[in-house]
Amino acid sequence: MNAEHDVEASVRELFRSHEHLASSAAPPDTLATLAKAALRRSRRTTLTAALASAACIGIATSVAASSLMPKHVDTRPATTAATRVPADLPTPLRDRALLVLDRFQAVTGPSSGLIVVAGPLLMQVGDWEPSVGQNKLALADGQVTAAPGGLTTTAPASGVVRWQRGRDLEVPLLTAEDALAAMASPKHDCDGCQPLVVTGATLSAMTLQTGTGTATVPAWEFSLRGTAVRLRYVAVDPAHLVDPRPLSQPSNDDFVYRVDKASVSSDDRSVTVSFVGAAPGTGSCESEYRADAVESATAVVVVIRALPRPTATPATVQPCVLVGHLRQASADLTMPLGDRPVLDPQSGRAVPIAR
Amino acid sequence: MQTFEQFAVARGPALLRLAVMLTGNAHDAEDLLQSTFVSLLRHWSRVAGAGRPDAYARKVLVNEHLSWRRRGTSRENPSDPGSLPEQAIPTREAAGPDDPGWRLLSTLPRRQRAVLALRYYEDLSDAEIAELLGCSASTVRSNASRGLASLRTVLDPSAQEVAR
Repeated sequence: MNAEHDVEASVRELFRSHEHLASSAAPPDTLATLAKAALRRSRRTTLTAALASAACIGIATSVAASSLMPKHVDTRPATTAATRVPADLPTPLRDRALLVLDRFQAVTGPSSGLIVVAGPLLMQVGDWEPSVGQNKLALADGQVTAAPGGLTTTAPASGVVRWQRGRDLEVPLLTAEDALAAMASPKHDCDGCQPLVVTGATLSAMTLQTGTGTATVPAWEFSLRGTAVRLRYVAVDPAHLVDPRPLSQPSNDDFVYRVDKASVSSDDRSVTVSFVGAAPGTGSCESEYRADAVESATAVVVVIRALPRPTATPATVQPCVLVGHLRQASADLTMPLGDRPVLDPQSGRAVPIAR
Repeated sequence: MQTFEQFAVARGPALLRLAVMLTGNAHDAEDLLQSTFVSLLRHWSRVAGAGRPDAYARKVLVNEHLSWRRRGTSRENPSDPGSLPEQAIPTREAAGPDDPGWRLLSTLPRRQRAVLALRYYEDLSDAEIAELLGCSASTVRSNASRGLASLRTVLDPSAQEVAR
């Protein structure tokens, strides 16, 4: 009997001593907010799909709660005079588009001749050998340093950016040291990984996706100790690059689709954007989408919305396989796209564009 | 009548802790509590109107957990991490606590673990647990004694003495 009581006391203690695990979960009020957002969507879709999407949003939120959350952004955008907004656009989408346009305008300023970044500035040539697999972590955390003695490279003060569509732009270049410093930022602690050691740098070139098309840009190519992998980093002076700091999802209530890339019609009056959505169709696990363009004089934001569908009846309710489908939707412009970049309403950054 | 928000703030932390006791880790507890919230929200006016939303929420949480595996929509199939080409960056939380008792708890059938959590963490009587699970008090007792028997080998030093 005594032993029985001992075990019961131990079980009690076992549970109590693991209470602290709850503190590494998302706070309950956050989960409640997510549940509400999921339920709101499930009025249109199915409960199973809502639960699954709630789980996805849960991940997104924990990322947003980290340092990625921009704090300097004014969330009440002022409507620019030259902005064109489709009349029937829901207010949250309209506000989001205007915020993105305003931020873009703020980083561009009145200057022209800037390069709008729409792809990574860093390019890796070759794959890490298995023996240096940790290098991937080191690079992701900005743990890259020059070998003792530094980089003894001289470079011309300027170089030429050449767009595939046939336009050239002369821009000032970074020194190899400055490019290395830019590549190694932001620096994070990578829990004991070996920093990459740069042994040399040569001026080369790389392909960069820009808001006005694919371009070939001057780049520094860095060789590294102990690996055949080389790293190329855009050598253009950052003062001539436009790259708004990424935004996060606005809130759990107003989901914004991420636009991955865009293509322009031959008459320059319509853009087709690619994004990830549900399978095409009108079933309970399917969706059709519509794209709208919100335009300013300097940029275009394309926002996506799922078209309403008949409410799911119990007979049609079924679990949905959460496979994302690559979807496309087109939006008409009120004037030719010209040199205006297409901005992703989720991150606020320019997307690669094909013409 | 209590709003859902008031309820979530007041009782959410306790429900989350119970979810941890049932699932064994913070990630699954998060998912469990969230789907419980969704279920509660669907009928909130009725839940709050009937009084005792707390007891009802606990019932939903436990039964949601017990039916999870049966539904089988989001089931994890653990595989040997060493055989995978890439590994996630290890974190302390993901690995879970390295406690023999806690590990053994996760090998118990869900119903047994739930009974133990309700009895020894929530301090419910066998009759209350029976009502919550929709079974008889004697079923609760047999689940509890089987669960305790499994744990005894690890938790009770004197039992180990005998086993040796």
